[in-house]
Parts: sequence; C-alpha cells; structure tokens
Amino acid sequence: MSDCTRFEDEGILAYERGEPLEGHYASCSACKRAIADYEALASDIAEAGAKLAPRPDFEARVWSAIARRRESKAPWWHPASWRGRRFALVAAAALAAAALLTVWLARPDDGRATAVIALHQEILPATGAAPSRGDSARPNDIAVLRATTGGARTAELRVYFGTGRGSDELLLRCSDQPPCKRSENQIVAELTLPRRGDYHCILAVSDGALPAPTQSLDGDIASIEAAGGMVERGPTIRAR
Amino acid sequence: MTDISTMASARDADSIGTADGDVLAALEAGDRDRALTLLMRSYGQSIYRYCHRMVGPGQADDVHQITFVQAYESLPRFRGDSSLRTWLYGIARHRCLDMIRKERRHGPSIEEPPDRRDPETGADQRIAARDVLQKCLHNLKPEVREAVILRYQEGYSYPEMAEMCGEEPATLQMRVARAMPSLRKCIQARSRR
Repeated sequence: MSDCTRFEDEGILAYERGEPLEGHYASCSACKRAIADYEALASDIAEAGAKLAPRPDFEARVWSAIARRRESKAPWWHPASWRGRRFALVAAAALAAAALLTVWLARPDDGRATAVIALHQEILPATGAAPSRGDSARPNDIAVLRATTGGARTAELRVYFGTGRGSDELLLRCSDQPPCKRSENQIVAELTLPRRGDYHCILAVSDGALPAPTQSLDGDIASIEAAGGMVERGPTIRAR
Repeated sequence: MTDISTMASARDADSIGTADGDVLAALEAGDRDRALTLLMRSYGQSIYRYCHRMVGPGQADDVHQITFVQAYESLPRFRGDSSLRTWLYGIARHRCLDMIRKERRHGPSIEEPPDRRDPETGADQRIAARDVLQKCLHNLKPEVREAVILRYQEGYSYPEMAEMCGEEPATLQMRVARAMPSLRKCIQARSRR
C-alpha cells in the first residue's frame, strides 16, 4: 500500500482553494482514498450540524429577556420599571377599594352581605406609554390583573391564549404562588403577552375545589359553574 | 471533487433574501418587534448551530438567546453596511468569543460525555459519534473551529466567511486545510476507545 501523503501535504490547500486535483491525485490510490476520507469528514460535519436545533421556546425566552432588560433600565417613575408599576398598582388599588366600598355600601338590605368578586385588567405598554384599558395591547406589553375573590375559599386567576372555544393555551394559572400574589381577598398577577393574538383572563372562585383546566376556556367556565363555582371574565385582550 | 457550495442545502438563498427584505421593510416601518421575529425565524437555527459548535451544548442556549437580545437592541442602528446575516453572525461571534474567554478564566464548561465503549444500538452509536465530533471540534482553537464550522457545517464560501470573520479568504483556507487532518486524527483516536 502506498504511503503517499501528498494530498495531506499539498492537496488539501489546493482543494480548499477550489483548484482542480488532477494528475497525481487522479492516479494515486492513497491520495484518492485521502480525498474520499476528507470529503466524508466534511459530510459528517454537515450532517451532524443539521441535527442541531434550538429549544422550541427560544423565541419566547428571547422576548422575556428583552422585557426584563427593559424593566431593569427604566427610571423608577416609569411604568416599565417595577417601582413605577408598583406605584401605579397602589394608586389603582386605592381606586378599586373606593369602588368596592361603594358597592358594599349599596348592598341589598336583606341582612345578608353579597360577596363581591371582580376582575380588573390593565395593560402596561412595553414602549413605556401610559397604562391603557385592558382590552388592546401589543406583544411584550404587560397585562396586570387585579382580582377580588369575595371571600371564596378557593380562587385562582387564569389566562388563556386562543379563540376561547378550543385548543386554547393556558398561559397563567395561580392563586397564592408566583406569578400571583395573594392577600386576603385580593389576587394580583402580571403576565407579559408573548405574541399577537387573543388573551382571555378569568377569575375562578369556589367554596370547594376548582376543576382542573382543559384546553378550552368555554369548557372550563362551564365546568367551574357546573361544580358550583363562579367565574368573572375580563374583556378579551387583543394583542396586535 | 465535491462542490462544497452545494453542501449548503440547508440555506435557501432565495427565501432568505426575501426574508431579509421583509426585515428591512419592518425596520423602515419602525416595527422592531416584527423585524426581530423575522430574524429569529430566518436565522434562529443556523445561529444556534454556530453557537453550539463554538461554545458547546452547555452554553449554546444562553449565547444564542443573548445574540438575539443584542440584535433587538442594535436593530435601530443597523444601516445596511453588511448583509443581515453577516451582521447577525458578527454579534453571535462576539458573544461566543466572550463565553470562550470566560471559560478560559474559570475552567471549561463542556462535560466529558459518558464512556460508551460498547454501544448496543444505532442511536447510541450516532450519539457517541456526535459527542466525539463535538469534543474534537472543541479541541481546535476558536478561530480555527469557527472556520471549519462556517465552511463545512454552514456551507459558506470563503469570500462570505471573509466578510463575516473579518479575515482574508487565504487565511481561512489555510486554517481549514490544517484543521481537517487534525480533526480526522482526533476522531479516529477517540472512536477507538
């Protein structure tokens, strides 16, 4: 067997330059074998690389990282900063408390207090503009949900993404664990809206257990009410 | 002789050209979100492949993510002096080199793959072969590894690589020509274990 190494010594560079490998390389069995091995290695590198793929959720992770960076850079008074949002939340909570007090004072005079459940939605634009009403948004805006549970034993906030009639994606479901924060009869949560589409927010309450969610908002509402629970549904948030 | 440029079957030049036009149109319209979405759809996988080979599987996700976050922040300053692909690879390249420098300071983050002396299934053999290739690529110097990746994994021509790396084509040809025999020897040595 020939020990010719001419391809490795000189031929590879000519190969990479795109020069034709003629003459010796076409007749030398060792060089022809070396060329074949070289091309096989190149093919293996390409084939192995073709199987590499990012995580399926990489786009969502990028948007989340962008939102976090925006929040960390915003001045304290800006709604995009956590302190700015907390200030806005406190102010809005004071208004909500005033509204609830009005409702409580206007309760029916039948000796039995009516438990009040309510869901309030607010959109914090990613651009840093002023908060807006809770039914129009853009991707990466933040939906702020504030719920009053009316003293129910079980309560949770849920956010569905989709048409609401089936194949809906449950993006948020919580009560007193993050991203929800619960205190007495209040639940507050924030959700960054990852993409264009329709978001449906509900407050589900019950004095017993709540049925587990499925992939249908309408179906879940029906099952909650069938189990004796109550649902307060916010206006659909249309992210465009 | 195999035409290396035809090995880049994963790159559909026509569709990427159309997507780049859409990205630029989105930027002109001030819609940075749409521009980034289109960039991720067009280049997300190829940038990930590059990051994976450059920094290894343990850091690829983070570097890949950082690349597109930085791209989003830099999009308003993109002036079209280079193609979007070149611009994006430039960002990925800097982030990968940053990670590699960090590894050198704090120790390598690539874990030694499990020793599969007697793979029993075809899947195990393929996984073992990919692990060996990854380890052997990682043995190359970063600039050499990059040249091999761009040439044979991504299928770019040397003029394209020169624009992306800021090097002369002749320099990149020499790097690849010297690297491939070393790579083959490394793979053969590890495969015999």
